[in-house]
Amino acid sequence: MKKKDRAPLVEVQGLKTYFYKGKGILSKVFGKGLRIVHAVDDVSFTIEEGETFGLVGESGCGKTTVGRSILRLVEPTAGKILFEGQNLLELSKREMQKFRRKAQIVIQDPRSSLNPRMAAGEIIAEPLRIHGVKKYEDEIEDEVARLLETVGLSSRDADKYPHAFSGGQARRIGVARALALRPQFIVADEPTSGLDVSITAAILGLMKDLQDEFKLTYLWISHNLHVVKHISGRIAIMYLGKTAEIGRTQDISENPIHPYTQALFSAIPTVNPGQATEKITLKGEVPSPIHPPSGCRFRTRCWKAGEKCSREKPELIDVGGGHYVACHLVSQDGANL
Amino acid sequence: MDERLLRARDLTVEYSTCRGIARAVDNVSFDIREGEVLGLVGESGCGKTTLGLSVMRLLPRTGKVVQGEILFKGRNLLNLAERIMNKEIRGKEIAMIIQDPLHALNPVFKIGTQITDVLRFHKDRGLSPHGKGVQLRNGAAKMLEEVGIADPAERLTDYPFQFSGGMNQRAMIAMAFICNPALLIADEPTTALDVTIEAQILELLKGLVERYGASVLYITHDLGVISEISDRVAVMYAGNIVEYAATTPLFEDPRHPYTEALLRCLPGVETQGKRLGTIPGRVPELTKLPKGCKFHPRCPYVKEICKERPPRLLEMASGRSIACFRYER
Repeated sequence: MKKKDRAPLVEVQGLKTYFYKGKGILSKVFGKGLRIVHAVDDVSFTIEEGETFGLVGESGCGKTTVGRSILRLVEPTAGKILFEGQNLLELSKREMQKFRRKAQIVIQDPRSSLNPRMAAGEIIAEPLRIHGVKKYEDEIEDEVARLLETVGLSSRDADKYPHAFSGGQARRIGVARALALRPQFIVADEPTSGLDVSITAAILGLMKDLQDEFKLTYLWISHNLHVVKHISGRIAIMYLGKTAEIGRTQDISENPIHPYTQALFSAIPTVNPGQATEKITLKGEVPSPIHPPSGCRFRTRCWKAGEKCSREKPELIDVGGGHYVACHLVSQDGANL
Repeated sequence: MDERLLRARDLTVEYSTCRGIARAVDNVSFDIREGEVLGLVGESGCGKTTLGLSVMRLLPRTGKVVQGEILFKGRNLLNLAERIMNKEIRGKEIAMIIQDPLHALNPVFKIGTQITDVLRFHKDRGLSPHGKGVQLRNGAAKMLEEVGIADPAERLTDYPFQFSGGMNQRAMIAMAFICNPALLIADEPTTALDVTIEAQILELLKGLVERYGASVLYITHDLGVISEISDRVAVMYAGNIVEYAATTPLFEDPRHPYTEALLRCLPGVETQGKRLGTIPGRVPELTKLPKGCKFHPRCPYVKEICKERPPRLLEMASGRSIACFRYER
């Protein structure tokens, strides 16, 4: 367990990332017909050093945008992102470049994030060259071989091109590239989606080993609750650009408080035959982030929603033990009203 | 009368590829009883989709059923003429839902047109010549309502791109059920959907299956979905059914080494901080299958005999079938 007085590694405060969608240049100049996609709208959380923080939600809830905003791969609209106490949004380009050595990303789809014309070795060597960590070719070659072995591939794989690798192996190359600069922090964006169960298990084992070996901190983004529950110590559940609930994985799985979390957790198909669990099936679909509902964003699908829910936005409240919930229908002690 | 709606016997399907013959389904036998949901589960490339396509006789040109028979209501589907398949089987007796509805729906036709097409093709004679269009539209609207689409009559004139992923899948389900099929083949129908939408679709499917009394061949890689929807489960590995049992015993007490290994790979909150089981090695290439039991290079219990000849799928007294020498006497 971490000491309380230590500052968190990453602190996200009131992060907002909007995308502007217009029909053409006129709408950009005059703001006419401009539509704002509220992809991430006022999200705050902290990530302690050495922990795995899971970010869960359905497609379009803004989880990937949060991950990308933290690394400034998309420019946030407002808020603060503190990394070791330093606000990343105030950094100059040069300072950002330095920061990128400390924080890396593993992208979901290896097919689109690995250049098909570059051999695996070149892909992994690229960050080393860009940041000038290793200057001499023999050093780079040794480092690439070492990285390939670290992620469970062979040093002979360095000359192969991405198409020659299977889905699971391609993920490993993505991981090796992220590790090349020996970062402290890795944003893992759906690193196991689209993989078979046995391959998923292998990748999860690898990521855990690497975390122990290199003292890594992960922001683990996934729509797969089983995976997130397995790997993360704490999780945040996102819905339509907002956090619905944050807390320790154990607490949230045993006692989900937010109606959305309850529905989400009851909806995941689980292997426990004979034990029929009560399912909460939500009505309707996720509304558009261009015109999110007023007040609580979940109210259009919530079976408990009242009049207050459409009027006021719920804030995250502490219900004890680092468990936060954003719902009007929850009292200070976490009981459902 | 035989209570088995569909019986597949010794089915073998091969694809000719540039790397040689790939045996995607190898000597597989199974049956589907009236009103039952049979789950077919396995990792990618194990032949589960090929099996579904063979029943519909929709294999791509490179694929061929080289051996076996598929008896549906006593008739061997493999011997039927293409015209009979279209007129009497496809869409009428056996319907199919595939993973990505956007691939199955035609983007340039209205949802309503696509649903009424099925009716027009199969139920034309049952309609009176006067006001046929209205009857067709009413039939389609009623079906759309049944699958939970609001304002069905208006939605008939929408195109697939105006529907969300979940709604397109609902439209596909409407098309599948509109002729009241005896068998539904559902190939990964919820894989592309979010969890809460997946839950909606599963609930809808369960309700319709009950109401229409259809049997289902449910194909998926998701063990969780399988355990919730099926009555019996067949586990496939590299073209073979390796274990075949009622759902609860299969998950509570997996017998085949592959099923056992697969279930130990599943992550969850209980496994937090622990290591998940892994299966060493990888799925063999279908053009270079190992001799004997196909799972033997990855199996922890491998014996000499496993390398020599393939095990047979044997039915045990408990009603389950296992293809493994550990259980052969």
